[in-house]
Amino acid sequence: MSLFGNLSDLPFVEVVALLSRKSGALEISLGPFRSHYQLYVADGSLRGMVRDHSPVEDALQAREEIVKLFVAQSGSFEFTKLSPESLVGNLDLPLQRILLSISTMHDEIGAFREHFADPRTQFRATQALEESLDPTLSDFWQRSHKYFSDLPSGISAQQLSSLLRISLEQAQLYLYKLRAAGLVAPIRAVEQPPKNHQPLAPSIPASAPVAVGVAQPSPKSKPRSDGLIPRLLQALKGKIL
Amino acid sequence: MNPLYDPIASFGTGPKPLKLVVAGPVGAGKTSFVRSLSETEVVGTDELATEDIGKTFTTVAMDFGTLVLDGQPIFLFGTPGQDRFDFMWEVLCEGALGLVLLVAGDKPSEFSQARRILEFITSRISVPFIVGVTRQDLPKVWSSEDVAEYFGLPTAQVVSLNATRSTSSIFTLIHLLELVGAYQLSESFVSSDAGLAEPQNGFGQQ
Amino acid sequence: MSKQETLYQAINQLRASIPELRGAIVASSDGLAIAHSLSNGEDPNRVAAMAATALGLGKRISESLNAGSLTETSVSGTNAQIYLYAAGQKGVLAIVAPAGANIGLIHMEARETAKAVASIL
Repeated sequence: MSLFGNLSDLPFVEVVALLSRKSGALEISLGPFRSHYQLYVADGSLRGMVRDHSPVEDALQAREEIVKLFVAQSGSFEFTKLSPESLVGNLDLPLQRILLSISTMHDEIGAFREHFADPRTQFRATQALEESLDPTLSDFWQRSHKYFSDLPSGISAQQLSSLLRISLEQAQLYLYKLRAAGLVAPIRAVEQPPKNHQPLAPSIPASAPVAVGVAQPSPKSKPRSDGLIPRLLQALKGKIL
Repeated sequence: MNPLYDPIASFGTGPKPLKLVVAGPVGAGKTSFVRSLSETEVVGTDELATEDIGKTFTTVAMDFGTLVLDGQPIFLFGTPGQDRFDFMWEVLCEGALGLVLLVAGDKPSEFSQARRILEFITSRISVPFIVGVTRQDLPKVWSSEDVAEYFGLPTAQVVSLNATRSTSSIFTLIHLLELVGAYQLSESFVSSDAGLAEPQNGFGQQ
Repeated sequence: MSKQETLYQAINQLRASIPELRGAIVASSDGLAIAHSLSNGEDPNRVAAMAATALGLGKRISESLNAGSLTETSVSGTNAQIYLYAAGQKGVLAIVAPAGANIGLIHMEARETAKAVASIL
């Protein structure tokens, strides 16, 4: 049901990525003597922002506050869903783009190190070249894009670090940011089932009791009766009926 | 041993055991999951934990359990959770039919590690997988949909469960096998060869 | 002297009495490096985790086959052999010896060290 946590566990840039298809209010409390924020988001855009009970007036101020949240090392957050119609605010800022254009002076590697992917995880590109990145990230993206898109097995931070002669952690940081922006994604070595493959089980409504209901097979995925997997499934289902 | 399955008697003639792997961070419920499904006594490798990880014992090599479905033996391997045991993830996933990655839904602090484990394994080893969000008996937990969003996975690949309840674990296994079945129907995945001792690709890459 | 200093003393003493050893490490039984002296720049954290895994598995094998409680297990390669000794319930001592080393001597010294380590932990 809830979407909650601490910015020390899930940095702001990742929380924002999670909200790209949701609408509602994100409350962030940076600490007892520090600022308290409410961010109203709909369709990946920041529609309104309140800081310590007073509304943030314009895009420039909002951007400044977002930089503060971006670099925050900790702070609890909780997201409440609201209908998009109720979220008509004074702002309309695409969050993901702001985050990517932010170039901060602080120690980003130190801030995000714990969240980096394993240096051996292989990544692929999910989008063509993207223009609105901060200059250093953009430079990395230009130089590395061909590896992400051309190599079927993808490319890892370890490989990029030696190909581009940058430090491993720098490569991991760039990958982390590009990933949060949805420009790259990890490779899944197993081939995907055909696109027309139906979800095998309906996703469980958030209010549903524990797990029961995950396993109603969709009629479209009716298995071959002679196969091994259908036999195993039959036997498993027999155990709970 | 399981009375229904004698590996020695069936050597060379009976069905080759299939291997399923359970991975995830410390305390996600991997050992509970294997215990809740195994029909034989689980061989564990618990050792005293010296770090403060919220429990006394931790798995250092593997948990091993078995079950037999319609005459087909299934081997269940649980992996150690800490990053320092990453070599075991690869060892255990070699030739696996499927992978369940478990993560505790009430501990967002462990999500980044869970994602790191999953991506490390699945970007290098060709294995169908699902993510199970455990501890759904607690009032404040992340939904499987939100966890799916965090992992960048379709919602159908992420399920909720309570790993201490065997019916809940069985539902999760059903879900995984349905996914494996879908891969096989798509004919991009060679089914009967996915048993033990037949490593797929992905090892030793730099 | 702190626990760790005492452990280092034990390891150094072992290496001094068998100079041909390539390395020695003491890890907790859940795979954390506590004290180490590795010659070739191996990552002690990784070696510690592997030592704990090998020992943990060895313990279960030993129990399953009614061999009693595990005292040691080994891994041999063409260039070197690795011996892992249980150091009480809490620790493991691993040593790396070149191929062809005097195993009798190594066991004698290392088992003493493992006992010492167990009493320190």
